[in-house]
Amino acid sequence: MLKFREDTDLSVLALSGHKDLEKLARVLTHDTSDGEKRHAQELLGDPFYKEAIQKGDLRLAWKSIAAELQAYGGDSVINAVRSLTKGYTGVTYREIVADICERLKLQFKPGDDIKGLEDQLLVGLILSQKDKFRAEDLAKIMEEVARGVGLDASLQQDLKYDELIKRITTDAKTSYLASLVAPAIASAAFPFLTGLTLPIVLEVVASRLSGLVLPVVGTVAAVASTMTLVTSPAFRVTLPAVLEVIRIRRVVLLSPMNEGRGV
Amino acid sequence: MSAILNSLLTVDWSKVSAKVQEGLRTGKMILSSSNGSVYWATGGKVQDLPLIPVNPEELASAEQLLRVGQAVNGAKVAAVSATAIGTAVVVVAVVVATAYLAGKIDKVECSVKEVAQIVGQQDQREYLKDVSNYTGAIMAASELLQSRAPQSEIVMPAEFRINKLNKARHQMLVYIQRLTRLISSPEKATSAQYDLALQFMIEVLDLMPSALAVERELCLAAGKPALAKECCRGAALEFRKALAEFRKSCDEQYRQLALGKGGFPDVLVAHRGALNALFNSPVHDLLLGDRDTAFAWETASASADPEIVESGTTGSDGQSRDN
Repeated sequence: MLKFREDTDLSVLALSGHKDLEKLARVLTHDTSDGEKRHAQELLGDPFYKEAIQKGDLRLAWKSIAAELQAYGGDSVINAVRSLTKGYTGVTYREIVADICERLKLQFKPGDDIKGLEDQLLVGLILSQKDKFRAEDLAKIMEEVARGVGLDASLQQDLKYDELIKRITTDAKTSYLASLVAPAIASAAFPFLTGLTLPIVLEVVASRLSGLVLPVVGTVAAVASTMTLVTSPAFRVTLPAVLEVIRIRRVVLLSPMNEGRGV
Repeated sequence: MSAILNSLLTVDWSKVSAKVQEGLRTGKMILSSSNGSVYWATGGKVQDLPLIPVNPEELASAEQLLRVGQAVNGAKVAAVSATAIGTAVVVVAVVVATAYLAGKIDKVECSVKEVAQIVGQQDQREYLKDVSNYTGAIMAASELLQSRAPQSEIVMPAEFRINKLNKARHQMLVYIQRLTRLISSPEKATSAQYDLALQFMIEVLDLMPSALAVERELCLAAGKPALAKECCRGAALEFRKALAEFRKSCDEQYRQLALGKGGFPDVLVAHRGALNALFNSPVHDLLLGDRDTAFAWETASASADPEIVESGTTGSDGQSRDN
């Protein structure tokens, strides 16, 4: 049985909806690129998770899902044998996010609150692909994605990189849009992220990428190509899972309590 | 339902004169839902309106409206709200005269008992005593209204109970403000305390609009229509302010939880349905709103027979001769 380590940074999962948790659970239990079940996952066998699945409401098992993510955050060697270690609890969500930022060589302020830390990861992922997407491409992508999720009226026109970075931290809607766009943009370097975002996001990004042969020096892609550590099995789970949590947090922040993120 | 049907009466609008309907429409007259009497807004009884048993459809609408409280979805609220004005009189009558009110009071008293078990401070215990005083005053007022005694016998005890109810309500609102502040700082409480405090707030705030309806009816029974209007407006305003502060506090806690800043997510989520029902209650709007306007709408839409002459004690000058 999965053991949740008290972690207020993951309390947001308690406020989310069944469908959002379903997506996160899918990332944690299956490889998004080939659909294969992950060897290290324990979630599918967790009694609370199974009961929640039967009832059609994963909100009942948010702690099990959170515990699975925490467990993946541990060292990959421990991950390999964690099912044999009684009472094993993983690491906190904050540590997982910080670990991802470090592996991607992103600059971040470890003292920031969790949303601030997540914003820095989003900014880092978007900026890492700056060489592939011109400012006008980014603005166009943001506009089309905003239209796709019904937020076009609130998005500033011709959003440049600098403005976007600034607005991510101050505007909830921009932050939410960035959480949709960042995985798609970063999927240029990490194909295993492609399963994360809305089809419309991917479609828009793919059209911008087609025909482009660009240097990747200094980008995340460059890091990815030279460091096997970045593509380690655990990282292939934690990065998309963290991006899902980031998206969920922004959805919750955009939805007042009375909207009740239902089943 | 049949037992309630036999005891519940509503106004037969088809037999109410155009003059009274006009008086209610313009706010010059006020209607008591508990006994069907009409009063001049400035004081004095106009007449007792003709009453007929509530028909099953009206009662079903009122009961549906009153039952709405758990896991309300938008469509249901919209459907219920559409029937609200048409059943305004029945709803208030049900609140005053049936087990509906007693059920709400029971819930509050159960919450008080649970809170009392974990409260150690003397001043908190005093506040809990105030809550019991309040629920006791509401029940006493409801019993008096249900007695259907002649107005001459009701006035004295009604005046006494109005004073008691008014004082208890003010103390209650102070306690609600204190508890809202306590809930706003969950780090100062344990999960169990936070849970009980939230539960208690939901029950008390859900009771208060019904209690205000009873208070208003009591004022009318005591021949104090101006006080009844004040009860509808002033006290309702205070209640709405207290509810808005509580809502703001809950929304902020929800936001803080989403940002990973402490709190008790499971507790808040467990109460989310009840909180949303409380904050969006169509019954509260009906009980706290300007009911005379609702009645005016109802009277305007009813097919009144202008030929029917007032059967009450109103004189040609329009003033009551009852007093």
